[in-house]
Amino acid sequence: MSKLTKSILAAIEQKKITPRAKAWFQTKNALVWGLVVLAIILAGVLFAALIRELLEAEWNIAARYPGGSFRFIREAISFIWLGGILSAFAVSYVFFRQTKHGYRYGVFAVGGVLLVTSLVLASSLMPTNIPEGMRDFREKQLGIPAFDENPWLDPDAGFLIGDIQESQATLLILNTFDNTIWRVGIGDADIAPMVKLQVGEEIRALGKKTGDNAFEAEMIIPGKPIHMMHMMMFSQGDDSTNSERNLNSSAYQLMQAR
Amino acid sequence: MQEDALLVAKAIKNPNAYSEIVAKYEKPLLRYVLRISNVSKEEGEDILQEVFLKAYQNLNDYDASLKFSSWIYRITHNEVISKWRKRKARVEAIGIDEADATHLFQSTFDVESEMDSKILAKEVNRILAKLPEKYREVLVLRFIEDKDYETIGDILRKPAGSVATLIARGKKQFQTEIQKANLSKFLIHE
Repeated sequence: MSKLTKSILAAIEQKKITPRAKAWFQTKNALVWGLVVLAIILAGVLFAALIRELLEAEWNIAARYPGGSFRFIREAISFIWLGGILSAFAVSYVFFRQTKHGYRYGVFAVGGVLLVTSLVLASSLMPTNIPEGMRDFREKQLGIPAFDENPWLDPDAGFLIGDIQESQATLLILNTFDNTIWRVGIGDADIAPMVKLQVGEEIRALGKKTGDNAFEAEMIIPGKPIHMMHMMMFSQGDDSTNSERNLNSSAYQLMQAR
Repeated sequence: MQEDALLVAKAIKNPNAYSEIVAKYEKPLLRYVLRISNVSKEEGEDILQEVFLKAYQNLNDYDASLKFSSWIYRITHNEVISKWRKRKARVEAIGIDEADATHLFQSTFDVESEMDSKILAKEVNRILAKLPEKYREVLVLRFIEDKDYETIGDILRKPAGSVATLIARGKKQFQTEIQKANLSKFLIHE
């Protein structure tokens, strides 16, 4: 027996060292895997929130958005969710590397699997209330406003959103979200089929500013995003497919004409 | 591999049986410690004592799908790195002997050498010590310890692809340093 072997056996005896229990390592491994799974779930939830917000963005006005399409895309992407997704991926990757054979897989292989898994999870979460809940969390708890209403408060760019205060045959009095009263001419405007020109209704107008607090509408569409209207009608059993298609088509044509 | 798994199972039940594992890996691990660090033989043995005690405490974590040697080399690697970091000292030289130096020199250039082995060992030690730790270690494991990519990956906890990249980069940097030191003139291209 060598000197080293003797000293090791003596140290084991003196310090009363014993092998750690198998259960200790099993618990540790289970915890590591648990953190990997939790981080993937978090990434899936954040992906669902991000995708829902991207779907809700008014992509048909992107080209006319002040600052152009690039700015629209930049503002439509919720960086808080994107940052959260990247952080969840980083955490998941770091803990995956701590698993028994996790180190054998390269960063791109692991990243690819994480991306696909979280996207699959996100797609299964899309029909649930989770994305809406995340949106509420973002607005109420984090104080970051939703993006989709912002571009409609830009009369100079031809967008207006607000509640109808008064409705006449060729004129609407509109109270915008910044509490300004606008006179909106609707004599030549295309009015979307699902819009009700009643007091208290929320509408959006595409057109041009003609003076101080005066606006000439070329199109009136519902205040809520089109697909949300569709979802609401769909949930009520109403077939809005055709009207939605027509509306999208005319909105698109109007954008093109501009 | 199965033999090692049996030794581990025995050692978990009886500490005295652990002496068989120590006896089997003591010499190769000491050589490895000296090859990747600039410690004396006595310091190397102190490091090994820590390695074997840690390995003993973690015997139940040994994964039988790995070679036991990869597992214990990994613990040794971590212990050496931890010692370096505690010391915060720059490696000035490492414990490569003449045979190792000649082997590394010839393997990286894939040719023979006619250089005096003592001078070669001194130069190779100096050049390896200058290389970043990540390159030095893969070169030692690949060309001196003769480990394959998968085993090196298991020891360093890196994917085999990353190991291949590190070896290629380390080899290139080593060759550049050899050329800078004007040692390539001693190579004999057959």
